[in-house]
Amino acid sequence: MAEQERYQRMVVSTLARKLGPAAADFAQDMAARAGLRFADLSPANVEGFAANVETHAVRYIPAADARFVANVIRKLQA
Amino acid sequence: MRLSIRSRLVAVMLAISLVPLCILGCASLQDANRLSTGIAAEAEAIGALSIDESTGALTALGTELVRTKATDVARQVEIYLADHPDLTLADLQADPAFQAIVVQPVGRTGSTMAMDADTLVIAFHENPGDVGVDLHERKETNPAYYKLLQSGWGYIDTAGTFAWADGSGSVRDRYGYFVVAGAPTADHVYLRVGATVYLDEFSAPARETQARIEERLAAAKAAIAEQTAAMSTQNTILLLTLATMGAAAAVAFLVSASITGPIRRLRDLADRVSMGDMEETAIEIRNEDEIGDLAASFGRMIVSMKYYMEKAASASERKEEA
Repeated sequence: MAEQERYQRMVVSTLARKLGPAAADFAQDMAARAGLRFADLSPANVEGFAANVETHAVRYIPAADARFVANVIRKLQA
Repeated sequence: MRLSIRSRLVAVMLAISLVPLCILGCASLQDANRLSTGIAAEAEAIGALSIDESTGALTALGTELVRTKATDVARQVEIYLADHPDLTLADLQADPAFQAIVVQPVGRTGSTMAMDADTLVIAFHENPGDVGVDLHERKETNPAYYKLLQSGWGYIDTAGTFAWADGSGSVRDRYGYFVVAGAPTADHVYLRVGATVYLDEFSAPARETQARIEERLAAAKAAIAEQTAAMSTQNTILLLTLATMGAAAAVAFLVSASITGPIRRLRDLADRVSMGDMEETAIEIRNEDEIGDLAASFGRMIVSMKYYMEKAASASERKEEA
């Protein structure tokens, strides 16, 4: 459980590097769009989450940055 | 008074560059003055040394000439007395030929004379009024001269310098050389022949040279001072100042522009965002420094604002639809 929370903090931190203080709420949204709760996010089900990040983050940051963030999240391990 | 960062940076950089330049300029000016003064003083010292050396050499040459003259006259007296062994002192004093032998000019200011070597009474002199004067009377009035004559007891040659009043009354140094003729008169009087001359006659050429050197030195010193002042203050320093000011201003402008340019773009963006304009908020600042960090932070804040504003707008729309 603690490892999952640490993993989720790492995901939020990665998002925060590009999105700032809205990263946590953005992560919640992306998790909801992927059909899961952010509290349940883990390396096993991160692909849907990362795909949504790559799709929706382009509204706020350049596409290259969005793709880069999504790929980093895909490779994060707990 | 509101001053932009660029103006302040330019002012600071100009001040930083100009203050050392002013100090350097003042130091250079002082050095130039010291150098020129030192050169003039050195030239003056060299001139004085050469004059001293010349005066000494000329005086030595003059005293040698006086010695030669006194010795020559003494030898001529001996020859004349050898040819006329029956002439007494009184006869010789009445003899114009002997007079001409004993009283001869020495240089321009001196002459030879003769006295009784034992009594120091003048027997022959260019000034007839001095004939018969007992030089013992000089003991009080001219002790140096008297001492010089006294040192010749035993008929040895004597020479030395003594003070003597000239025709105008001014006292000048006079050099004398005294030689006793080796032959006596018929009445057994030995004559001491003396050649005397004012010393300054010998050093006159050196003094003229000294005057010319001093005149040239004064002119050279004035020229050096004038050139130093003109060149150092007006040309070199001014050109250096202007060049440094130009260079410092250019550098200050470029540096301040590299700093304030991104800050201005950030300020303009912040202005637009603060007015609610969230379009075209991309920040094209890639500085690898504190300004780059600031731009990245600012960009994240804008992204968050856009996100929350869109979220609030969509929530509001959903509420209206419901």
